[in-house]
Amino acid sequence: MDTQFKKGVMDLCVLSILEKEDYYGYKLVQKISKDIAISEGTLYPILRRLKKEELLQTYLAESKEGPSRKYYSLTKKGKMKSKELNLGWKEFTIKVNKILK
Amino acid sequence: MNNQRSREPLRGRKKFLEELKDHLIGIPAEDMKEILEDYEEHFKMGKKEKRKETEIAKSLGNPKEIAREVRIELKKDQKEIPLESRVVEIFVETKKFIKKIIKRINDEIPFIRESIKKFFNPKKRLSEKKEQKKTKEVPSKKKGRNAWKIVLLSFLDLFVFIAVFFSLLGAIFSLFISGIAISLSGLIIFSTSITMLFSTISEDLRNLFSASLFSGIGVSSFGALISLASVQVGKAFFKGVKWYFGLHKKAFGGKNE
Repeated sequence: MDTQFKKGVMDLCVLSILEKEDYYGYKLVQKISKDIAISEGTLYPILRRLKKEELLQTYLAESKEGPSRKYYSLTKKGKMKSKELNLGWKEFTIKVNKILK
Repeated sequence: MNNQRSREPLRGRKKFLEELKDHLIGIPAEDMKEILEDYEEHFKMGKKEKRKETEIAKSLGNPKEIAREVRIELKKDQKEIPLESRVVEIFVETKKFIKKIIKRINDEIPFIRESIKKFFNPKKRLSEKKEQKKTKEVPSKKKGRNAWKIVLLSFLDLFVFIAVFFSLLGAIFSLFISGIAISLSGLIIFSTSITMLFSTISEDLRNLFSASLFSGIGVSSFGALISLASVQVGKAFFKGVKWYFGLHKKAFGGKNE
């Protein structure tokens, strides 16, 4: 799949995953790259931008083994954005599928 | 994609982070620190899962590519500051600057009155000068003289600044407009050439208009280039103005605030 195309939906993927559960960077990156072939390193810049846009926030939490981890969670704005993107995506795919038929 | 990856050199944690840092040079220091920390943490977590450093680095991807990504995302963020707000910022700074000068003048008013009196009364001035020569300047007078100089300089500074600011702004703006005009005239040459080429004309004219077709393209791209260049110059200019105000804050700030 085209890289540009994949990057375009990364915001949607990140926000949707975090809507269900908070993740720390490494786990989140693993979860996405398990299903979508994307260089894992390119996800961190996206996370930083989403944070700067105040869609995400981070907090540190202790882990049983080793140092504390930086967790990502959605802000109120992020939750709204996630819903908006999800709706847009559904509408878009319905239209594309209609054309592909 | 797989081919490209196999050609990549193997990197450990240290090499990956060093390369990334090299490619990120120039971004704000705070961003740099946080980004490197993110990848550092990623390596730590990966190691805990018994993955090899080289393997983690490989799945992270090429540091150069990541650095490019970082820059793109940083730019996206910066775009949210529109040009208007920067202009507003400059006007607010100018207002503050003028207020500062007015305050300074108010502080010095008694002295200025005295100086003006002296100025319109040359005889007194001359005699005082002679006196000064004899007494080799009283310290209090010296202090007053310096204050007078500061006020004068501030005024000069302000006028010079306003003159330079608006003339440069005008020059850049006119460059931008003339770029657009040149590019439009190129477009007109281009479109007339096309319409002429599609109508029935003699061979000679046909040659002439095919030549003008390309010169039209050339002229319009030249104009576009000028406009784009002037936008860049304008950006640099605003940066320069900001720097200038920074300089004044340093020079005046210590005494007034």
